[in-house]
Amino acid sequence: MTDNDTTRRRFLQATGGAAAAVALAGCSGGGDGGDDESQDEDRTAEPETETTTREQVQSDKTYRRINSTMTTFDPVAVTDEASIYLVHNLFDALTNYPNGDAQSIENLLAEELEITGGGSEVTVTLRDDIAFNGDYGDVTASDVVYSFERLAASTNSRRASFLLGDLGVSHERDGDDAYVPGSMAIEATDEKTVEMSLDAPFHAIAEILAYDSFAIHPEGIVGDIDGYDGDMSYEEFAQENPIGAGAFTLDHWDSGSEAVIDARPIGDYHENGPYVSSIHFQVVEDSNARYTYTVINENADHPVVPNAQYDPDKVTVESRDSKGRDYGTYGPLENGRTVPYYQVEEIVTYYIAFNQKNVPKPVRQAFAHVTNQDQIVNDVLKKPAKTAPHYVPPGIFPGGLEEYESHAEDYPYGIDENRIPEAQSIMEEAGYSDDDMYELEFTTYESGFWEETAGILRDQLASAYIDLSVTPTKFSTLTERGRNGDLDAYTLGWGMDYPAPDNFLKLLNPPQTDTSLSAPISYVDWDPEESEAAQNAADAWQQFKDNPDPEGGQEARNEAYIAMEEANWEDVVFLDIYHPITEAMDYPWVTRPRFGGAGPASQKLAKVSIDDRD
Amino acid sequence: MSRWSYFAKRLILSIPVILFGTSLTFIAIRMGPIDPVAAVYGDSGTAADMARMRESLGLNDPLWQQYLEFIWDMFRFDLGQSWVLQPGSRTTDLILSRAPRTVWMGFWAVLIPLFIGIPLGFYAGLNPNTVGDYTASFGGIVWRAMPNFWLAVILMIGLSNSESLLFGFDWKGFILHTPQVIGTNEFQSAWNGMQAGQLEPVQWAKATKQILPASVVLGSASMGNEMRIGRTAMLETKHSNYVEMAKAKGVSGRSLVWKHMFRNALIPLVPVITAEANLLLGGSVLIESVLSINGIGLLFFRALTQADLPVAGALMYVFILLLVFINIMQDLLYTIIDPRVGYENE
Amino acid sequence: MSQQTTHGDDAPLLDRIRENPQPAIRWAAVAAVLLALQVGAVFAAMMELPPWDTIAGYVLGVPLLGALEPAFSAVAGVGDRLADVPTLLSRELIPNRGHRVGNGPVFETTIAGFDLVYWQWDGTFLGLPAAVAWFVRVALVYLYAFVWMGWLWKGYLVFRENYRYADWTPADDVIDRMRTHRWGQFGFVVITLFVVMALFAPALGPTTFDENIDKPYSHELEYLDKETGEVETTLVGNANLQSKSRGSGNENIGVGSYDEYDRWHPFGTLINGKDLFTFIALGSRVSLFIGLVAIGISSVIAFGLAMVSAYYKGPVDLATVLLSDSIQAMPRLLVLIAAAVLLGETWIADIYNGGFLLALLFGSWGWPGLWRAVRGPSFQVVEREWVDAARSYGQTPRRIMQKHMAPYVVGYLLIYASMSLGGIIIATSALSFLGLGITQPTPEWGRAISMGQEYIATQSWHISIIPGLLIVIVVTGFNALGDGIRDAIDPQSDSGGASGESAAAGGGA
Repeated sequence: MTDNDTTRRRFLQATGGAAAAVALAGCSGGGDGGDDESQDEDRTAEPETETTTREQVQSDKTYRRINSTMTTFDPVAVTDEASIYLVHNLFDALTNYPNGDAQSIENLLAEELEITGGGSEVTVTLRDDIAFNGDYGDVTASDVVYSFERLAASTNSRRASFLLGDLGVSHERDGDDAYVPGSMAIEATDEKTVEMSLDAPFHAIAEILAYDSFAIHPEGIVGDIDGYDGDMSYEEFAQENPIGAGAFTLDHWDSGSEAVIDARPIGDYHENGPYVSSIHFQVVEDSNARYTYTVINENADHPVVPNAQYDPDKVTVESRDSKGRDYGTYGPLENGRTVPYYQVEEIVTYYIAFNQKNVPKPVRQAFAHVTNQDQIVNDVLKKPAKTAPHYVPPGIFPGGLEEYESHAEDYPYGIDENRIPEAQSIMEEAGYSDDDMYELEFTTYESGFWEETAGILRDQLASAYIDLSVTPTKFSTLTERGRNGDLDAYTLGWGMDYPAPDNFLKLLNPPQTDTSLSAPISYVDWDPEESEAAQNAADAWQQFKDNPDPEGGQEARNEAYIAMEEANWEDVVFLDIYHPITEAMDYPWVTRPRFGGAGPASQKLAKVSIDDRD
Repeated sequence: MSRWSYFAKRLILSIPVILFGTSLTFIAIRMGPIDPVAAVYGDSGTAADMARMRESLGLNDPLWQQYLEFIWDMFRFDLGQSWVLQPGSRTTDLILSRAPRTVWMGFWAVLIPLFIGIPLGFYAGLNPNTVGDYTASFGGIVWRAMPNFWLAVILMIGLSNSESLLFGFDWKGFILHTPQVIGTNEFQSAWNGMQAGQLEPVQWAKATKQILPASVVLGSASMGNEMRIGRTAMLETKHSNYVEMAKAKGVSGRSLVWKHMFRNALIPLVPVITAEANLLLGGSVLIESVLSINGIGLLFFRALTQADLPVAGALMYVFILLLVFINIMQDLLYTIIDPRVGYENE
Repeated sequence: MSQQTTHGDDAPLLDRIRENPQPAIRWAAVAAVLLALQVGAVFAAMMELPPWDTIAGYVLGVPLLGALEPAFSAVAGVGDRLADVPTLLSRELIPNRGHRVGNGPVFETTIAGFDLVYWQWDGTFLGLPAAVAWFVRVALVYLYAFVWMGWLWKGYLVFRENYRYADWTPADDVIDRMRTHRWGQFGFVVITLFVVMALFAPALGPTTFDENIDKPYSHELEYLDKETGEVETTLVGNANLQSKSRGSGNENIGVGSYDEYDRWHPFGTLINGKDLFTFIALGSRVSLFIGLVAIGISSVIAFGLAMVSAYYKGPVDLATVLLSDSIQAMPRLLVLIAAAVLLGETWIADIYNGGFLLALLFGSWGWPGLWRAVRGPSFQVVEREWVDAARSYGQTPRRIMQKHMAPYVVGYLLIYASMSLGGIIIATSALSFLGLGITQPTPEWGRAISMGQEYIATQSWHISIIPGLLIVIVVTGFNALGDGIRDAIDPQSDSGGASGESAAAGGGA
């Protein structure tokens, strides 16, 4: 739970059908192919090494993109991906994932992040060459304290628990269990130094500080926390004049139609770039309209190809880069162009989950037998994707892809095949028949992909004496009903917060799946007292907990991960379907570093440049 | 009863009407199954964050208290702040920023039927049972029978690909260059220009060309209605006694049509106004979602499906007020144009 | 317009038939033969059309009514057995599912540029190609339906000649006017075609709901593999997945074509490979069901309120006016959308996959327009001397409304109902298009339009265009029929007026 909400929400809410369009929309691609990629992609912690040969000149070009409807630019309030595209470029945080590559983290506003006390004391030293845009001067330690206090205390904040819960900064709570304003153990010890102490050691401090909620804004800019009157009204800050230390400033936002952000001059921004003079985001939601806008009329600098127009035969993969991204070309498009193209494996898993209390085991197993992941990917998704026998994606699987594949051979329900006869016999043994079908409510969030998948599964399961009634529902209703334990079977996806299997497998830790708790992580009611496999999973999680040592505990942890995957197979808690692969395209005149697994919204667009369009 | 006391009576009677609709809206959205907090957080919210948000939105107050506050706020035209779509923005601003597009589309959707539908109907009524009459009448009925959402999809696709579908006719370059076939972006720049004090005729023409397909669809139902009613009205007027009288007096054909028949035939068209307001409000939701026009129809649909209760509630309240107001105006207009209409009924 | 309303008080019809049974018996005998041909289908339709299982589920869930369960199942058993009686127009008698025979086309030629290839078929009617067999069945179904229509008309003539006292009644004029009203007749024919499609949907489709749409993985089919020349067997579900119409590439089964599995698709396939014609035929049932139930609900409310408010006037009338004003002050389509969103996840939405909910919404929100259409006539009729006379005669208000007021008003109800049925069909498809209302697997025309909307500009245009055109035709038909009835009942009137016109347009959908 922590961040990568950016990635996760995008994927959860916007997948399949029209959604594939959204995924593509967000993407765009790297440079002109193989040669210049090495400049940007293999970056180290010092941003200076990135410069290589690029000339620091800002062109007068506008980078034209499309986006979905945005909601707010207040970093502590933002929860949706469309807004994050802008927030990420308007504001900078202490740390950053360069180009959305989730496996590397670097300092951004911070010069140094010193972690002591076994991981519970943090000292942040700020760089001394960073300034807010406008007249707000240098970024100082008190700005950091103010920004974090807003995240914790503002009524507008939607992510206080990142700071108080996940990161766990020491603080006080009042009688109603609410945060006591000003009580956080964060202190500016001098102009450029901030000290924080945490309740307990946390292993991903630098990673969590990169989230957009932790973006730094000038002290006193709004008065929604105690002790500040605010330089401007909240509405002005969140809608019209968001002030941050990012490479761009908001020119204007017309919530229904477009937003434009202007580049700060080269040299004014503390990193390289920006190389374009502004970025224009046109709001287009409908997939037909997106196609018309970006391909037929070429009004954007990246094509969006929705399912109806997408043709897998038009993909030509030439090679694979050092980060494992296949690249090549896509085309010709309807406008005659063939464009640079690459694929990014997202560290994400889509799955069907079963509430263990509500759905009997034979039904779950029959369901797993019937499900043919390959068919779903090929016939419904119609995009590159990896079918999933495991919950943990190959990129972070213990032992990597090789181990992932070899362990998959033990998958008990037939990966990539329909096993209707097996399903029938399991169900017959359990006493079901054509006249006595098991009625299963299958809740999907509204997405063309899941609805069509549900349609296929419904058709197939009808032959295995399972009467699947499909309920497409609002995403919010689905999670709400999930928390109440009202769901039988439901669809969701999970994206990485930090690159380790436990970040996925915590959803399968039985004690945290109990929907009678106020905040279950998943909604499956997997009870160790009812099921041996659940007991095994709980034991394995304990084994993981007991071996925190980075090196020495690795083997024991890996063993625990595998044990949890196998327990999941036995009880069919999560039926894994696939790991998505994002396809990114740009028109040839765009030079942009390829982005990584955290997705395009986590890439700073300061490094994009536009050549002459033809 | 005088006209003014009739008017006063209508106003008083409209209070329970408005209260009914507003209360129903409140009941439906606050007691319904959709939850704004879950809509904001999706899968990723923690219980603590969600509880905080719930508290800060006042969702934990007793329901009757929320109801009274809602009604009182609506009464004072304090429409509140958005929860989900644009957190912290005033609902009024949100509506006002979207409204021009819907009004622009609606303006043409009213105008096109008026200037095509009614003349066609009158023409058909003046020449009953001719080929022209049949063509116009049949065309009107079929036109009206087309589902708006379907027509919108077809127009959008057809015009975008006009070169391949319409034998090389290029709609995008037709008269003016509008790369985006249907939409409001040209309107937006024209509007921005006007607010900055510049009137740019070319820009406005582009904006018109861009909105016309949407307006034609939105007005399609009204156009059919107006044509039919216009035809019937003209037929009836034509056969009425005073026209016979005028003819007997030797009034010339042209002046007969314009001076005597036209005005009287307009009377039955008055109630069409209310019906039309209803059609426009309902139709705008569908058309705006199909054509991705960010107007108040789409705003309403989004607010509803994402549980942005203040926005959905406020919009419904505004719509109800609008319809009630138009209704009263219509009846008042009736009493002015047509003295035969009494004040007693209703 | 039936005769009973005008002559019901005289001698009962049965007595008159008893006096002179011959013509009636002759007519009835032919009718019985016609019915016998199809008796199985009639009962099958009765068993299928309403969602009995779901209704029973909820009704029997109520504790007291649960005791009735044996009775219910007994009735259901009888119904099912009657449904099994063989019928003339069934798929079994004229099958169109089969496969080509393996040894190449029997006959192959090119005439005027068209390639004509004729294969021998196995399993189809007389070994004809699947398309031809299907055409034969469809033609027979419609022939049968029109024979029935003709015979009913004949029945009316028999009645008029032999059993009616009066030589002339106002109804004769109505019918005469209808007979010369070409526009109304056009509507009548269209609506007949539509209703026959709904009634005979299971027999009309080239395949069935159960096999093709509901449980494709429980059925197998045989087909000729063109490459090996062998007859192969596969699951329908797998065949569907290979027969999808998806625009780009070579994935398209268009109008009037065969797929790789020897299946004939008159309207092509949907994006999921299911047969569009079958989908549309069954969808017409859903539309008709929703329309009729909704009109039924509105009519009961509107009619009742019109009678009561016209009879009692004063405060009762004022209250009704206020209620109807309140409802009409909320934009209809917006309310429907809101209600469909909000109620979409309650148990009501489960009945008939959302169809019942829609019917309920249209019914309960549609009555004010209907009520306004009949309110005026009700007020007029209450002023008539015969109502006064009945009152002084000491008849109860209820009886006066039933006997003396209702017949006069019922015609207006018919006009309005016909007009608004079209509107309901449009609005239903609009809501389904938005993803509200009818959920899968239930076929609904708006769902097909929504599925295919991305593909309109591609070769798979048929998915959206055909259902859309059908809606246009059916709605035009209902409007024409409404016009016809209006002109026939009262050539002078323009009832319906603005509200009727707007109902016909589906509230802007």
